[in-house]
Amino acid sequence: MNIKQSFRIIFRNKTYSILNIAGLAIGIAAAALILLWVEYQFNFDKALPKSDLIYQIAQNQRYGDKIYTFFVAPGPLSETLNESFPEIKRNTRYSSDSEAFFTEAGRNSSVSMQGVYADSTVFSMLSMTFVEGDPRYTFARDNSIVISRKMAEIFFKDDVAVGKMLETETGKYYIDGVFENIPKNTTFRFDWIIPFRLLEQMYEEKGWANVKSWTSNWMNCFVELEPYTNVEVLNDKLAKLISEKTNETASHFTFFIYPQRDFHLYGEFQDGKPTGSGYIRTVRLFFWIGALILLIACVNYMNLATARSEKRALEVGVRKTFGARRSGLVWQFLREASMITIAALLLAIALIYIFLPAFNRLIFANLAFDFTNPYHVLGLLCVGVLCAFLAGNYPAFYLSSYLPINTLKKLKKKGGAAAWIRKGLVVFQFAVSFILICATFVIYLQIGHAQNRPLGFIKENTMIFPITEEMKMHSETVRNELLNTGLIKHAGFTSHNVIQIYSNGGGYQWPDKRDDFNPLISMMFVGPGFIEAAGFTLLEGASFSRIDDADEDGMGKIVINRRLAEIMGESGRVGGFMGQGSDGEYYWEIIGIIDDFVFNNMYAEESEPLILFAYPNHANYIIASYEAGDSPAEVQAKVRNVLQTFSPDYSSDALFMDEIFNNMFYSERLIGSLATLFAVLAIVISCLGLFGLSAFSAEQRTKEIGIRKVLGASVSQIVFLLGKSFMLLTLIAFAIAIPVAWFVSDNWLKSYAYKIDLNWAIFAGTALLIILIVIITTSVQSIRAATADPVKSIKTE
Amino acid sequence: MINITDLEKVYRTDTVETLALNKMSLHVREHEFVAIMGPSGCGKSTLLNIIGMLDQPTAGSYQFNGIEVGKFNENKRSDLRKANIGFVFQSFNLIDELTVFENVELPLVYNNVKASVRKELVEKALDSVQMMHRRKHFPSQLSGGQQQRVAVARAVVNNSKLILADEPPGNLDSKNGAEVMQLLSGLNEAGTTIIMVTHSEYDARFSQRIVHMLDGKTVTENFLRELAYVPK
Repeated sequence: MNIKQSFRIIFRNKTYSILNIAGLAIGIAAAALILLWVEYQFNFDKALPKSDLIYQIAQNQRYGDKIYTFFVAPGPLSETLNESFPEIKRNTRYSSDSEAFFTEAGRNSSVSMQGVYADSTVFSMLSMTFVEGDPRYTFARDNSIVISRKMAEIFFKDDVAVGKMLETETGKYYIDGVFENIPKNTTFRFDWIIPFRLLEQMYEEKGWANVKSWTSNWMNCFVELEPYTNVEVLNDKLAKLISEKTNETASHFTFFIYPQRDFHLYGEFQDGKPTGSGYIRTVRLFFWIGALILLIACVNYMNLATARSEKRALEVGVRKTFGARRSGLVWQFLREASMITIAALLLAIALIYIFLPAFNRLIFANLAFDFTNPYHVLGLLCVGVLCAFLAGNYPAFYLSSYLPINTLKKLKKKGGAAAWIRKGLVVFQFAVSFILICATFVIYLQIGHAQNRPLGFIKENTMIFPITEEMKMHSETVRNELLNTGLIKHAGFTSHNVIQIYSNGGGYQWPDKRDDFNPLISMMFVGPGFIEAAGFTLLEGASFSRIDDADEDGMGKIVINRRLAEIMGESGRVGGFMGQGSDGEYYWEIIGIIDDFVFNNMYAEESEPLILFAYPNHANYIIASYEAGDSPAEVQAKVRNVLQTFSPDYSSDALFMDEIFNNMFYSERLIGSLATLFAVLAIVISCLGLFGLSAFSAEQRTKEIGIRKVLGASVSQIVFLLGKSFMLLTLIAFAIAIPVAWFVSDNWLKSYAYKIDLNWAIFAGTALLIILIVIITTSVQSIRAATADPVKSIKTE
Repeated sequence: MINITDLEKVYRTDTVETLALNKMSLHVREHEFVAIMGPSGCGKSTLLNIIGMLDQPTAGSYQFNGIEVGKFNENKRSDLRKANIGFVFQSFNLIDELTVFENVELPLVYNNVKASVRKELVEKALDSVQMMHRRKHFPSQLSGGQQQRVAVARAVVNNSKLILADEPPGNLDSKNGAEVMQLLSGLNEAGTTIIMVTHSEYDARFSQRIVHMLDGKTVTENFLRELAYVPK
């Protein structure tokens, strides 16, 4: 038996081969896409040459009986690490990513680019290569900047960039160097770097943070260790650092370092210790889903091959009669499976190339299949070999076991084991499809549930603009001008965008507070009009009305949320007082209490405690609400016009509150998108197999159908007869899948406090959907068989 | 060549036990052409399958060329079968996916004959049944008579010493049936031993000896003529 004959067998059985190749190809392509994504996640932060030595400074902060872990650092840390920690080769202070609009000096159009403030040590730590300039001579002057090759190409095309000037809101910067683009799968994503000391000055001048304090954390810090470093010993030293520096016997704060290469996948902490989990959970989940899809595709091959066995039985009998050994036949069938797999692999590669861009859009990534990457080629080959082995093995051994005497006498091999296995595999396919579809429903219901919950603020018809220094200096005028346009209902300055409030602190005091009670409290700095613009509900007292609320009687004015009022007990009332630190002084008066609203965690059952300070100098945005009927574009243009009277170059786009809100569901949406994709693939592949099986089943029963029709059976009775067995298998699959789907969904929902209740309708809906799909898939063949001429059917045997 | 003594074959299902061969004895000389006749279910085909080593006897002795083969395992039987025995079936049993040439070539492939030699032998065999011009056709493109001639070519291509034929003209019209019987007679005259199961008195008359079976054993034997083979 040569390859040519194997080819011929595949070509002469077109339907069978197409079903097999298509099923396997879809399975392989899906698995490959998932593996690409998994590879991307696993390589995150590992492509850096020194990835084993790069750690991030982290801090455990104790508030009451809770320990929170933050990846933050205070101002003086960097210098101390340089002076007293020889095992730390270098460290870099690092801001969070920020977006800035850059203009080439002398031009008008500005481009928004993502970048960071960092020390020049970052170049060596990240082994950055410079295509222009020399990293050793950068950042000598304050107004320096280094930019990525991508950014250089945007602004200067092929011209030299070094020495040229770029302008942004915070000043003018001379380009010191151009670095090679940074790979995408790393935490360190930036197109520009400005010396960190500039940010430090800014913080100091504006009083945004106490940059000299050990307890004011306002930056990130990365360290590169000497290769000999014992991390445990170093962490012991770091743990004592704040106590030493602040002369407190036991500080609430302790430093430690955490490997950067583990940050992405294993970044979850509980009680100050890594849980060994994090994003890896999602990655693992989808790895297994990919494997299941591949398995479903292999199951198709097995089922179609054994279902077709009667057609192949005669061939096996004749070959054995003329001397073929079983081992030879096993090889023949394995070869056929391999050839089908190779065809499927080629088709899968085409599918990967066709669908990768769409997949990238779906999961917001930039994956690429690369034929020069040995891991990709090898991975695909492994998937292929695995498929050929998984799919081909069982049919090869099953088919080759036919005894020539039986096949030549046309004795049907009793369905027995093979039929049971086939049925079992169909049940498996539909059980997996059920679970995936059901999980998809649950994910989307949960997202919808959280999106439609009472939020405590108004997300519709509200926009937020980043503000400039000039605007802050004239905050009251800006606000009045906006209100004067007649388009804006309310406007107010704010430090945070309402939904994401990542400033918090401890050490707050109020009368009658227990000494050992120290909750972590979130804080916002806002101006007059903010509470109204955000749409908060004022439960008691008053809102901020004037910019000088803070100065009137030497007592600052604050508004707190209901949660904090509850925590404070008796003191949590309008007219109550608060302070911070151990001086026993109270310097804030509570003038109002707002109802709780949802922020940071969209699935939290109860809000975190929050203080609003009347301090628009710390604001970063202005929030503005407008009438529902007005055109957002028109309002945006009008607002920008007003803002440009304060900062003529101002060109920022508005952020819409509902968009910011929707972005909070990024990770759930990602899981939802992937789950939808794989649920659809699972059911499509399963149906390809089912279609083939129903065709064979109808063919096998041709004579039976003919006899039944001669004896008076109607078309619908025949269709029912043929569909019945598949429906029964589907029902068995449901019985197995429902408890599993329940368990999986319930487990997934456990990580959300505000969540949907699992109810029978989800499962019934999934079951109905699958039943409908099964009926459509099988009825094509059943109807064809049922409407065939019975005289012919009887003659065929 | 074949010595069968007190052969028994019992088929068992969960509820029924059927005695297909009941102390059957048969001796076939080399170069002989034996026809086996009898009503349906008398055990003819079972006997043929055991002689062809496709099946094993339950009891008794079966010697092939002096070797006791009744207890051989599947691989040993397969080796002995592929080297010595050719088959012609009532329903031709050609493989649909293989061409005429490849179908005839099959026994040679399994006997590890070199490709160049195979081509020569297959062409010779196809020539002898006048099917050379159809060598690239698939079975479905041939008439029944042509298919059976291809099956005969396949049975002889390996120069088998024994051909087992199970109602070879059974699915053919009388003209094509007669042609196939002529082919088998010619092979026998050239020295091939043939054992043929048939219902047809007419076909049986091509043989030298007719064995009548009933209920799994021989009831009569009729010697029609002497061996046709004349050693050169």
